[in-house]
Amino acid sequence: MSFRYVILIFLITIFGYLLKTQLSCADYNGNFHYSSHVISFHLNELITTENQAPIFIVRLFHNKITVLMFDIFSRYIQFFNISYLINIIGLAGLFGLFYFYYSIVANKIRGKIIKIFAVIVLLLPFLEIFQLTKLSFFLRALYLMLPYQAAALIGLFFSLKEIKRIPYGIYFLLLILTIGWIIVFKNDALSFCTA
Amino acid sequence: MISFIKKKQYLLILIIIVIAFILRIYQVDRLPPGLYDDEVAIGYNAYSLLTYGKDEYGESFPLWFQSFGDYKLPVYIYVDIIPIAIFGKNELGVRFPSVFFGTLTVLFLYLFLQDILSLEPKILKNKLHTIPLLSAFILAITPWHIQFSRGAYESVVSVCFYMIGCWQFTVFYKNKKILYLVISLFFFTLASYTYHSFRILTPITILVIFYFLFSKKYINRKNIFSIALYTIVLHIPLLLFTFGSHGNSRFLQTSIFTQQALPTSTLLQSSISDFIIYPFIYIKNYLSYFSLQQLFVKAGDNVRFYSSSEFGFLFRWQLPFLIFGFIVLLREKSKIVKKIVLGIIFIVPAAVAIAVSPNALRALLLIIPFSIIIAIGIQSIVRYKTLWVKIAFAGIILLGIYETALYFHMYVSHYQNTHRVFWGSAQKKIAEEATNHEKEYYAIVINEDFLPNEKIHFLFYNDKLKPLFVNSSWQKPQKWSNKRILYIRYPLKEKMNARIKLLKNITLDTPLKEVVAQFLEL
Repeated sequence: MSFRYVILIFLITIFGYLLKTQLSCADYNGNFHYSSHVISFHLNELITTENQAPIFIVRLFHNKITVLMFDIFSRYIQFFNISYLINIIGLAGLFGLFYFYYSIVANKIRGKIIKIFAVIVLLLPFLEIFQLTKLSFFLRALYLMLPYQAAALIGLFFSLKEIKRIPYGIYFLLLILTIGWIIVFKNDALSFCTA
Repeated sequence: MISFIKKKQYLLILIIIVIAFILRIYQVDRLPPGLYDDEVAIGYNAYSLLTYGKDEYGESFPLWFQSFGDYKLPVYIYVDIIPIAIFGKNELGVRFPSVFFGTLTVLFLYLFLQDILSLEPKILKNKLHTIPLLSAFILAITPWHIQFSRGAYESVVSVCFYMIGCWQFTVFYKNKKILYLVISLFFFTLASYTYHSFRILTPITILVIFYFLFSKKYINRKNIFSIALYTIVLHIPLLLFTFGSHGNSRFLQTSIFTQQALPTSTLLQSSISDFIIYPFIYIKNYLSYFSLQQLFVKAGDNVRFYSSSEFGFLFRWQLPFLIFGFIVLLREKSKIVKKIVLGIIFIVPAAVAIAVSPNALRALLLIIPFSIIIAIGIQSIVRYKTLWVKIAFAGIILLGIYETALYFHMYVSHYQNTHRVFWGSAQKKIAEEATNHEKEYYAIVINEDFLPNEKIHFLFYNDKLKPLFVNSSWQKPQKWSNKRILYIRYPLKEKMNARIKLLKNITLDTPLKEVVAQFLEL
């Protein structure tokens, strides 16, 4: 079996463990979910801390659309934050995911299906932000984690194929660090969800 | 458009510098609201040197300033003597070096990129010709740099010196004149005499430079040894300081080995586990500098540093350009720009991750590669001829203008209400009110327990006033029994006895009017 596949099998095992850890949660924590109350409260807070600005300025900068856009942006960005990603795809997966998107934008991966898949991965967080599905946490965690993990695997697979200059030892080191990370920061994995 | 930019380069950079200066100087005497402890310490030491030739502890023209025990590096304080002499002992006087060097950084980034692009192949040079101007503009308007340039932060001055060093090294690379190398190394060294994190960053940079000089045999061996000797001589005081007891103090105050809590409940609980855990904490700290949440949404490391909870280190509209620019940079067959930009991006967090992270101030140099990458992203997207890309670009720019305007609105209109408590306006008010009551009382006594570092604020705002600093257990001495004493303390809810009269509560000038101190008559 080629060395490339050995690394991928290792990574799949790690992903399995990370998935199992996440599935022990009850739900994602509130930071991931849009709430109209939060928007109203925040808007009110902004207006009360305003310092004698003309009314049109207050309306221009502190309106529902702006607060909503900022709120959605901040919730969305959490799904691509390193601290979150590292808990669902590990350090090695982080590199894989980066290389996956890099290869697509740099036109190294050309398949249409894979490009559609890449876009879907980018859009999936909206399902959770707006809680569009009424599925159980188990199913939601699956559709929110597995596509990321798949993208990371594809990215890592391509990087193993493409980047000839990186010795395999570096990949092994990355895997060891990934495992070490899981052991050292075991509790971090649960900081994004409710028990 | 392109020919217009080429022809009007100097006019455009002048406009950008003027914009940068206005954004940094506008109302800097009252925004941020009040001088915080370190600013006051810097200002008072500069004033004390100017007036008495001594620091606050009475030491004549010291090289290191004891201050709060953190042993401040000398450059900012000595530089600040001039603005203090011109503008007086006030907010403008203390913050002016930051404003000045922050603005200059924009110019030196432009000059550095101009020179470095001239070393690139002609195709790439033509492709990236607007990058110096665009990068300078991005740096001029980005919250990360503006926010620090408006406070007395040594890091801002260090970044400027570092950029001068980079620029002069590029000039040396082009002309092969040793003088430029000497100037370059001088400014790199000056950066490490200005801010603590550059004590790590500068040696790494200098080592890279010497590796380059050796490996490329760019100058003859004899000259290399002379230059190396010159660099070592420049560093001797700093090395003695760093490895002395005082030099360690800052490290002990901030390092992960003393300050960062280790993760609990790990599978590794033995005493040797620390050796295994620290590298992971280091990696975690390193990666924290690339957290999208920190960069674009909420700069959570220190509430004081940022304009509001609405903004991160960079603008949200810069995100697509940062991503695209990074990918373009990775793909570009660039000889130098790529190596330098990626080099700084990877080295800066590596140098500062040893301390509790993320810390936007220590990693301020990161704003330079980020500005360049965002500029590359913008320029690369502009070159696309596809209609939908043009529409998307126009949309992002419109949102960008709105977000940038919102940032400045939040800064000017909200910041003083939401963040006043984190700055030193309360201490200033206490010192001013105490001065007003000075003549009515035999002595002014300040309970330091909940008003730490009040001493330096009193020195700064009125060093003629000599209050007595005490702790909560202090009792009025018998010999003062017939004297009127002004007692200043943190607002406590405890019951006061009949002989103590509440004179006034000192409140913050915010809508909530938070009480920050009580003036009592004993």
